[in-house]
Amino acid sequence: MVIIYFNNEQKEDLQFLQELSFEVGSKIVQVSIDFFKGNYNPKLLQNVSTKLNLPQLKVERCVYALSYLFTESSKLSLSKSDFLESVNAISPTKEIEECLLESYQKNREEMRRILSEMSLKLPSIDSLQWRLDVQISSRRTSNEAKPVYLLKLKTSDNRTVWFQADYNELESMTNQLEIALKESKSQHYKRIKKYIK
Amino acid sequence: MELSKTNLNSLSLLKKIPKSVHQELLSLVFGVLLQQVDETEIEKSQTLKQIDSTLLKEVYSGLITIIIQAIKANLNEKSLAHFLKDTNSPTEFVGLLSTAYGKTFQKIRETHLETTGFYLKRLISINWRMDYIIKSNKIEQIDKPVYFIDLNLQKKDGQIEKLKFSCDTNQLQDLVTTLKDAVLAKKTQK
Repeated sequence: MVIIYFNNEQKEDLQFLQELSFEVGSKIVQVSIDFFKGNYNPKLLQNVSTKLNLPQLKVERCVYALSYLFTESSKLSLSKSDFLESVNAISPTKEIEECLLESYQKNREEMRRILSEMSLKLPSIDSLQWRLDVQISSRRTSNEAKPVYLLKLKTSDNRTVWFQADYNELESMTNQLEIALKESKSQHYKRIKKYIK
Repeated sequence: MELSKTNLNSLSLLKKIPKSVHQELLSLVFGVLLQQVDETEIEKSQTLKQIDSTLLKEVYSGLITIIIQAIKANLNEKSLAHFLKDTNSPTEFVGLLSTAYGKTFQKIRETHLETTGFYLKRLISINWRMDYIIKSNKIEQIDKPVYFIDLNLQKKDGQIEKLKFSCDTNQLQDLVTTLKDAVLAKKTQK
């Protein structure tokens, strides 16, 4: 059982939710979800606070604390009960609790996707294009018929690499990668996967 | 190295350009060759505005031609300086030009000439590694396999460049399918 711990400041910021009506509270929760997804608009915060007649600083801090709640719970993939336990720390009303849980469950997958984009990773492969040519002659040789592969590899950091390979190299590359792929179906991999779970 | 008379003359025309402008002209020329600067910058430059535009055009095109021909002929810094001594150009300029040439020779060769030429890097070997991602500081319970692929490519001068990328199982499957098609294409042709 995994629970999120809030420090005192965050607890205070979240207690603020209690003082509000359900509608107002749910609006603030929505703002914090958008905030997490990257739609951070300080003007929006200003508008929301003036419309709801609340001190802007308190609203802002509440939004930050809620974002922390959603970030951590998505990161740890909290189950429903764990989420509710964590939220209990601020003893919310039943309605606020439900509103938070609903927002969490609805947006969890997307938040996890955003978090994994932000994680450490090497550039990944976008596409590989190939063309088979026959080299007929060059400055040093003539009247030959050598098959040559031209390859264009694009990676996710927008790099494009051109290279050539002859048939043997390409075949050995294909064989190696097939072996790599078979590894994902091997016994050893399945064992590891089971043990780590 | 073959150069037309006009090109060779262009260097002697440099005598008509004040020395203070030489450095600016040179950095613009190399900037254009390295594709870092657009040619329009030459018109925009304040220092170069004082020079007659026909004169500037002749000198600029002469410089570009000489540098590219020198790179094509694989001249090093000293050979270029030696060659330029016979062209009646101001000695100080020859010095500046040769130094800049020496520094940027490799890079210009790579960016310009090798991509328009016909020698591509050759694939020599491939290395791969399979990892199982457990968690990161941003997200936990990832539980997915990832492949790291390392390609060794050899350039014309023998230097080896490593190309690294990652992919997940689906991408690797696509890659293997594409490669198998490529290999099959040759088998069916012969």
